[in-house]
Amino acid sequence: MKRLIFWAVVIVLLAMAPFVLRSYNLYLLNLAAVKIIAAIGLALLTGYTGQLSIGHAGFLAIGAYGTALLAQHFGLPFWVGIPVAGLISGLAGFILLIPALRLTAIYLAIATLAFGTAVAEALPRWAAVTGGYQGMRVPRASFFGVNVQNDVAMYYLALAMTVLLLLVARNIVRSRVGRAFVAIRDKSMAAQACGVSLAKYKALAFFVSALYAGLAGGLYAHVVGYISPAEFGLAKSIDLFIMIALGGMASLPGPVLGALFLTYLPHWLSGFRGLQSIIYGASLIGVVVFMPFGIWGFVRKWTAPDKVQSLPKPLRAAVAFVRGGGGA
Amino acid sequence: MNEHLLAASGLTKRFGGLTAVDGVEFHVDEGEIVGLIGPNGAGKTTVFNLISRFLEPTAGAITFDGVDLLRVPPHKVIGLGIARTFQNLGLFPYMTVRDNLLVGRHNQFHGWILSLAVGAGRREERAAAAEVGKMLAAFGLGALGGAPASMLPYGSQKAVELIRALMAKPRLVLLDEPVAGMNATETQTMGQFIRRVREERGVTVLLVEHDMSLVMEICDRIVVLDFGRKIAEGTPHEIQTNPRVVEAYLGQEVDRAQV
Amino acid sequence: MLAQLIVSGLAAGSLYGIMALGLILIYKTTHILNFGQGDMAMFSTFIALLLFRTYGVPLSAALGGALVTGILLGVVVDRGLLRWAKNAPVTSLFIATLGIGMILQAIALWMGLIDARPFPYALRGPPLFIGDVVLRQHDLLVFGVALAVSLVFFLVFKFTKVGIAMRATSQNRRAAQLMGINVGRIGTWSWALGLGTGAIAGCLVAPIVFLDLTSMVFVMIKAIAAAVLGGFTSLPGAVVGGLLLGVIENLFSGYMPPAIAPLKTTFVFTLIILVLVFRPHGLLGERSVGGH
Repeated sequence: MKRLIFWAVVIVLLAMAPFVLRSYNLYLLNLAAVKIIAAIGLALLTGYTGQLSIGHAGFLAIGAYGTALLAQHFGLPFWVGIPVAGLISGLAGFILLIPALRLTAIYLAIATLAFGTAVAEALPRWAAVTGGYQGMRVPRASFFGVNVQNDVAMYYLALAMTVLLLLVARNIVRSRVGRAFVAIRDKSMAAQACGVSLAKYKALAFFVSALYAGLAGGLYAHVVGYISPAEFGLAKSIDLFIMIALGGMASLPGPVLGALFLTYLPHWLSGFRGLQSIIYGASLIGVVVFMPFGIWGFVRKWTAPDKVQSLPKPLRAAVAFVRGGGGA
Repeated sequence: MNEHLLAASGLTKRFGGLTAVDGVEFHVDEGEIVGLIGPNGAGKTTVFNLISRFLEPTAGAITFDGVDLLRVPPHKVIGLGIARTFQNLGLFPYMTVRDNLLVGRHNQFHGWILSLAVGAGRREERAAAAEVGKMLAAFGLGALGGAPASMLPYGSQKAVELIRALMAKPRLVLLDEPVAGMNATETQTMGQFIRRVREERGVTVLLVEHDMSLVMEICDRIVVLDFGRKIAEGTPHEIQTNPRVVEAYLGQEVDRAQV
Repeated sequence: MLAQLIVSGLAAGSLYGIMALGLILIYKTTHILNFGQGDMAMFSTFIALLLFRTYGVPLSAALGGALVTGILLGVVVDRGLLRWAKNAPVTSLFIATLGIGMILQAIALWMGLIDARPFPYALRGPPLFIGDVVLRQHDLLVFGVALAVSLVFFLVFKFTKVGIAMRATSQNRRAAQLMGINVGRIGTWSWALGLGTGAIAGCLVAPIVFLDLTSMVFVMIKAIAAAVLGGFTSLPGAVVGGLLLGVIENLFSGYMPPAIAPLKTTFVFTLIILVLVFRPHGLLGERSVGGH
């Protein structure tokens, strides 16, 4: 009950943000939401299921271009276009299933890298549809004739999507599906012996992950209003990976924290001209050195409730470990 | 033939030039505890992996309750009623004990992804958690549900893995070296545990084990492999006095001494 | 035409191969995929450029300076940074190498590497003609260096104490430790050798593509792909993978119509995936023991 009240208060506070924040800050929050959604999707795949991907920007691109093209050619409103584009991206996730059934670790990473590169190389070549290197304008979002292409409206859209997708991810993670994901990651043979079909659950993980990235891409298209191929390159895929690794990838708060970190740190650093990337690089190293299990792992470790102190010693260590590991 | 719960005939597995299992024939009847023993490299774990369908036999047949096992993919074996444990622990180390056991119950859940995504299936989840709690309590591990599996002492991990195998309500469990690395007391406890599994739950047991005192104590029948071939089969007493078995084990002792 | 494409492909492939050797050496002994390898190679190469252009050091000495920088960088990265993060999982260490790369980019930028800079060729005589194949002297140098580096790697691994310890460490870290091998020191050696090799690759690539902050990153990506094609744990595999990748890439862009030719990276990657689907551990990789 307490938790419920806590979250209700958080959401109400977030919903009031447009009354206090300037437009630019809302825009930043919208970008953060895009990253949060994509990072959660990647965490489900990489953190929970153990399938490395460094090509996720490809799915972001499919979602973003899909949304823009559906609006341009079929006049689909954003609230249809984004889900449909997300679904297309999710189905594209199955492309990676074929290598994922055979490959692991670095070999799978290269396969996903190949997918990301293919999308990044194909987008500008297909200029008739995508506008080539120059990119394309995203038709303005409207809701039953009312123009909602502004930061405030987009903020509510972003907030709603983030909350909804976080809840869905939480439900998945706490169900047998989430346990099957972790089982595959930790010991795939034992998982099979328990009745987990590797093919089915890997397929599911890739689908859900690509769906999240696609939805994030669709939201991105409407938040920025203009998209070009350069935004969906390898650097973006790596950024997503950094987010989940920094935040703590086998958890849901982890990718949220990582996404916020990567949204706001460059923003804060923009004042330090020249030193920007030094501080950025150093903070990446710092997090790795001082928080080996990510920001969330660190938070859990140092916020263990006092109750833990009164437990018998071995159990105390056990609880501390769960908290330190970010939990699965 | 059909009265056997598990039956293998002409079972053969070659890896390149090496024949790990060579025309092995054996069966397990409902309610038995059968031991599969033999010196290192005799092919015992390979037999387990053939039954679990992780390996494709080069030749031969395996049936379970009259069903041709070779037509079943690995993840469906448990659905037929065969659960197993692993030699080097098959627990998921970063999961809690409770979640490990819930994975053991994986195929008894019904909700599918869309309904799970919107938060349905919570009742099912609660019922399963209650069942896990009961199971842990029944085996005296009630306090450990929330601990990550890898934090447990080795003996308890082995016990948890056996309980996980039971979660799917199997008719047969395959135990791959259930007491390897345990001290005498732990071995004793595990031996009683395995007996209880049969007596209280009517589960049939096939186990691979090197600890001869345990095998002789709890098994009804023993199958002995050496270099992939079955060299003997019988009651513990018959096996203990079988000259071929003694020879096989002695030969290995000599080999070991030379190494 | 065919012969020419193959020869140029082999030259590019040799560069991928050299770069991949350094990556794999580090990966084999420390299990860290050094995603900062490109930036580290860029940095060493930039030091050579600075020595040569700004301080008037002779080219050969400047190139030697790059090699030394690479080796020192390896020692600093391993001793100064990664040693502190011993408990972090390897995925996090991978992020740390990215962080180091960013810092090196920032330092290079601060030291004046603002836009693409031409880099001197070490050999710049007239090209050789063999039949109708044109061979630049730089290509010859690339072949020679690739051969020499491979040979050095081979000899080190086969005959020196450090090399044998590296092999032992990569096969079984724990056992190597029990045998009295100082695994930490082996890590430092690997980083030093690996980044030294990266510096060599950098100095050979820079004359062709010019030197800027990110030109080496693309070479690194290709090198990773080459390494994966070869099996990622195999040093000869890295060289074979690199050569194959260079040739295939060149043939594709040579024979495909101009509309499709720029998609060569996609093509090469797709091909690698296909190879991996049939040989999940690459062409020369070691198959791990056990079932699925």
